[in-house]
Amino acid sequence: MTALRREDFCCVAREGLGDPSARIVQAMFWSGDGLYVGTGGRSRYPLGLSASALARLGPLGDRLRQRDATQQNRPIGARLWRFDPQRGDWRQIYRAPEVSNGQGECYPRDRNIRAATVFASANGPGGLYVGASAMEGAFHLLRSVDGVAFVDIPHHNLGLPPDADIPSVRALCPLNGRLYTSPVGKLRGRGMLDDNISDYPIVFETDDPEQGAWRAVSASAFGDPTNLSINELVVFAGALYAGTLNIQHGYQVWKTDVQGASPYRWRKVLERGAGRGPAASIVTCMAAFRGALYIGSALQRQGHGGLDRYGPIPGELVRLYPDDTWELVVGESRPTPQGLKVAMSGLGAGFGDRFNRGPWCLAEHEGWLYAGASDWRIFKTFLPGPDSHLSARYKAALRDSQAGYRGGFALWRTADGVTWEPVTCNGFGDDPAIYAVRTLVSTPFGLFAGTAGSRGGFQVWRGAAASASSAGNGG
Amino acid sequence: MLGQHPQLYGLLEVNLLAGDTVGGVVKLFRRIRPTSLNGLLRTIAQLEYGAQTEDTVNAAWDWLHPRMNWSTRRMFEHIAAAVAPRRLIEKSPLNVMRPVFLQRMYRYFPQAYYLHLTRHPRPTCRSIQQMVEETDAKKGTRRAEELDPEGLWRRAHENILDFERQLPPGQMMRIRGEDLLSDIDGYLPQIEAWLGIDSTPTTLEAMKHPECSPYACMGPSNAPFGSDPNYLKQPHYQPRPIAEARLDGLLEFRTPRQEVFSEATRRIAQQLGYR
Repeated sequence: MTALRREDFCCVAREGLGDPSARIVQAMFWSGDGLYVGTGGRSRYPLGLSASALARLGPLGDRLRQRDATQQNRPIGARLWRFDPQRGDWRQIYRAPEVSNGQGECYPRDRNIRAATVFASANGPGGLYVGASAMEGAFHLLRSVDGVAFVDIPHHNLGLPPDADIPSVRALCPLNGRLYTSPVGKLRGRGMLDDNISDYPIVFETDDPEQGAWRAVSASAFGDPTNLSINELVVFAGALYAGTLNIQHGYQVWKTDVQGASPYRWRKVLERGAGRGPAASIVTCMAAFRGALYIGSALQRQGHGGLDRYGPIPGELVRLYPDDTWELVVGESRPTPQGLKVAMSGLGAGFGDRFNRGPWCLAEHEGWLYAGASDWRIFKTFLPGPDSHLSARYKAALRDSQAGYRGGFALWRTADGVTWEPVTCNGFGDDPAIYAVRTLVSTPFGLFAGTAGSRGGFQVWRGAAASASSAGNGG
Repeated sequence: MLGQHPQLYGLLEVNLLAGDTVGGVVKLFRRIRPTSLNGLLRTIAQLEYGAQTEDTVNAAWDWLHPRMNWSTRRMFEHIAAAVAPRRLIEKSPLNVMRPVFLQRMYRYFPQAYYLHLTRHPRPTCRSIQQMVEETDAKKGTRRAEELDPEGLWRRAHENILDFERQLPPGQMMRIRGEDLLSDIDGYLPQIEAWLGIDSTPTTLEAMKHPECSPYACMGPSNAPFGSDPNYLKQPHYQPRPIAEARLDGLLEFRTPRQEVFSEATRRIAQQLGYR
C-alpha cells in the first residue's frame, strides 16, 4: 500500500491534447493496456441554447450566431483518446462524425463522451462500450471489440418513444451479465441544454446491447417526481445503486438486488441528501472501498440552485454499508432519522474548505481511496450582491478569496476512510484555469486523474510511486 | 425540554447578551421594553431566594442594583456557578437578532454548543403576528400594524447562518423543529449524545416534562413573563401532528392578504429544507 504524494504526479496530457475547447474529461477507463479518455466540447449553438430558443430571440439570436461564427466557436464534438503509458503516447481513436442539417450546415454528431465501460454479454462478443452525447436527437452508443475501432450499436431509444429527449447517458454499469444505464440531460424543454435533468429518470437494462434490447427496470423517478434524474449508477456488494438529483429535498440513493422479474424491487436507502436537505441536491460520485460505498454530494449546477446566495455551499461525503446503515465521513454533523451523524473524519463540509464544492470523483488505488474535488471559485455566483445580508467581514473574506484564487483543485486520500490527507490543494500548482478533478482511474501504471478547466483544455495527470513512474511521463 | 435534562439547566429569556454590562442591559430594556427583564429577575429570584414571588422579584432588583457594573459575562458565570454542575441552556430569541449578540455569546462561551432549531416561516410568522395582535388588544396599542414577522424570521436565520461559518465542525447542529417534535424519542437522545451528556430512559422522560421547570408558569405580577406566554400558560408537552406548511401562497397573517414570501425568505427556507 503506497500512498501517492504530490510529487508522485506528473502531467501526461495538457491543453486538451491540442484542442483548448475540450475542457473536461467526462469519461475515463482502463482496458487492455491502455487508458481511454473521453472528451468533448461546447454545444452546437451559442450559450447552450437550442435552435428554437435562438429563433425566439429574433435579431439577438442572429447576432449570437454571427458572433459565434466570427469567433470560430465551432463545436469540436466528442473525441476518444487512448494513452499507452508504456510508450507515453496518445492516439485519437474516435472523433464524432460530421453530419449535415440538410441546409448546408455540418456539425459533429456527438457533443461529448460521458459514459464508458467494459462489458461482456452472454450474447455477443462484448468489448468497450461508450455513450456519446448528441448535439441533436438521441445519444449514441458505441462499441469496440478491439479497443481501437468504435462502431454504433442500436439502442432503439431505450424502448422510449422516437421523439424522446434523451441526448445523453452518464452511466454505463455492468452487473451479472447485464448492462444498466439512465438518460441524463435535455436538449429541449426550457430552450437550452440541461445537463443534469431528464424527462426519463428511469433505470434501463439490457443483456444484449448489440441488439439494443433495452427495458425499463425501475419506476420513473422511483415514483417520486421530485427526483429529476438518475446521475450515478454503481455496483456494490452485489447490488445496483442509483443516485438521484433532487433539488427540492436533497438527493436520494436507491438500491436493488436485480432479482426476480423487472421492474425490480428498489429500496430507498438514503433520502433528503442524507439529512442535509437541498444543499446536497445531487450525488456526484460513488465508489466502493473496504466494505462501504462512499457517496459524494454537492449543490447542483454549481451555484445555480437558488441557494448560492448563502454559499459557497461545500459538498459532503458519506459512506453506506450493505445493511443500509450509513455514516457521515465529511460534512455537517446533524441529527437524522437514522441517528446522530458526526463527521468521522473531523472535517466539515468541503473537507473543511468552504470553497471545495465537494468530491466529484472517487477511486481506489493500491489500498487508498482518492477523492478528486472541484473548487467553487471558478464560478462567482456566490459572491454577495449589493443587497446581500452577509456580514461585512464575511463578504470581505469571500471577495478576498475570490480575488486571490489562482486556480486549482483538491485531491484527497485515505487508507481507512476516516483519516483524510490532502495530496494537493491547488491542482499541483499548475494551470490556473483548471478547477477540478472530474475522473479518477486506477491502472497497473498508476492512478490517472482527468481534469476540468474553464479554458485552455483538459489535463490528465498520472500518479505513480517512484519505482513505477519511469515510463510514460511524456505528453 | 432540554432544560429538564438532569445535567442541564434551562434558563428563562435572560437577554443578557444585549449588552456588555448588566447596567447597560437593564437601562436598555427599561427604556424600550421592561418585560424583557422579567426573565433575568425571575432567574435571580429563583436562584438567590429560592422562589419567584413579588417579594423575591423585588429582592432581585435590590440584588441587581449593586451589581450593575458587572459584565454580562460575569453575570452568566454567576448563574452558571449557582446551578453547577448542571450546564446552562440559554435560549433568548434576542440572541440571534443581531450579529453582535451572537459574537458576544461566542466570546463569552467559545466552547458552547449551538443548536439551530428551525421552524417553517409561515407558522412562525403567524404566531408572531397573533401574539402581537393579542397584546395590542389588551393594551390598546397598534404594534401589529408595523410588525414585519417575515423580516424577523429571515434576519434571525441569516444571522445564524452567517455566524455558523466561524464555528469548527460539530459545534453547531441544526434540526427542524417539525422533525424534532414529530419524533422526540428519536431526536432528543441524539442531542444528548452530541452534548456528551447522559442518555437514558430516565433523562428522556425528564425532558418530556418541561412543566417541571421552576420557570414553567407565569411569574408574579411584577415579572410575569420571561418566556413565550403560550408556554408559560400551557407548559406540558403534548404530542400532536404538525401540519405541513408551504412557502407558496398568500400570507394569511397579513392584511390585506396580497403578499407572498420574498425571494430572500424563500431561499433561506429552502436551504433549511422547507418547501
